[in-house]
Amino acid sequence: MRVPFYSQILTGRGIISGMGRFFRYFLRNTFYLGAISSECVAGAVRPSSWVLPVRQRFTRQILFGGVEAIPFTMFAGVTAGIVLTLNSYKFLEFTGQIDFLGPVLSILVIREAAPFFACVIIISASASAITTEIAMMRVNGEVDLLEGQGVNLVQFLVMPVRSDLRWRRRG
Amino acid sequence: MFVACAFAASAIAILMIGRISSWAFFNSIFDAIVLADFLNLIGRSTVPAFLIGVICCHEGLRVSGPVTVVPQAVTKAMLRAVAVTLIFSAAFTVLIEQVAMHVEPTQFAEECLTTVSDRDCEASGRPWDFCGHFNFQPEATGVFIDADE
Repeated sequence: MRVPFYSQILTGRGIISGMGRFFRYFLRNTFYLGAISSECVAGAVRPSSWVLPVRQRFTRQILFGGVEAIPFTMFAGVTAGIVLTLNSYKFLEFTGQIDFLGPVLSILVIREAAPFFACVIIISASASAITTEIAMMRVNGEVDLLEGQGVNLVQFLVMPVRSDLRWRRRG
Repeated sequence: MFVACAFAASAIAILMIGRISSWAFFNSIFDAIVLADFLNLIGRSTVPAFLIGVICCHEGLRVSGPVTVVPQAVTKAMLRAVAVTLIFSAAFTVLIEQVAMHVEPTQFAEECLTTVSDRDCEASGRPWDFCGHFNFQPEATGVFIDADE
């Protein structure tokens, strides 16, 4: 049975070796993600990569994860704006610095809330769907079939998703 | 869209409170927005979205075995995506602050920038911008003063 890497640290083969294994695990995954990212960017800037199935998948991703998430984004913005305004107003009025309400809100909303909420909305709206879709394709053997036909998996599966997420900067 | 909705809701909340002019409130918001805010917003929205997409596809492609491993892969992908987002946000904030310390003018330089233009703005009745007059005096900021003197 395969055990997680952190259980080996806790159950004993030494702290140093555990840290070494952790950093090897971290570096291996980081380099793997970097390799996929590089291939995606290289494919996205090459016009010949945007064949019809890739464009169809890209459009479907925008419609599913971007357009359908607009009402929830607006709802989250309104809720966060009201909550941040009321809390900031109470605290600044208590301290006598009510003139700083505008700068405080601009910092809170633009610097902190908007990027964080954008990422949370992307994760909640798209991340689980993307992972489930690709994992089910893997389990059902569709990915093996594509590989057997010589199809570039990164170009046909990963690149439309990443390009779609890149254009959904709704913060 | 998120920012617009948040500021609109803030203005409505300010109007409901009724103790601050909403016009002055919006002016103070737009005065406080600087270039570093936009860089921060774009950088912290775009790059984590890249990483989220890559992580989700990576975890999905790593699955092997029965269908029951799919929920585990989804859970792991979401946890890793949230962790990467938080780590990148913290690192990017520190980076932007370090860069902004060297790029943005000091408070004394800002005073030099706005000394004359404030009078013009008061005369023109538009105190929220520089009215197109910049009175930048580089020797007054102390940047060009020789250290030996």
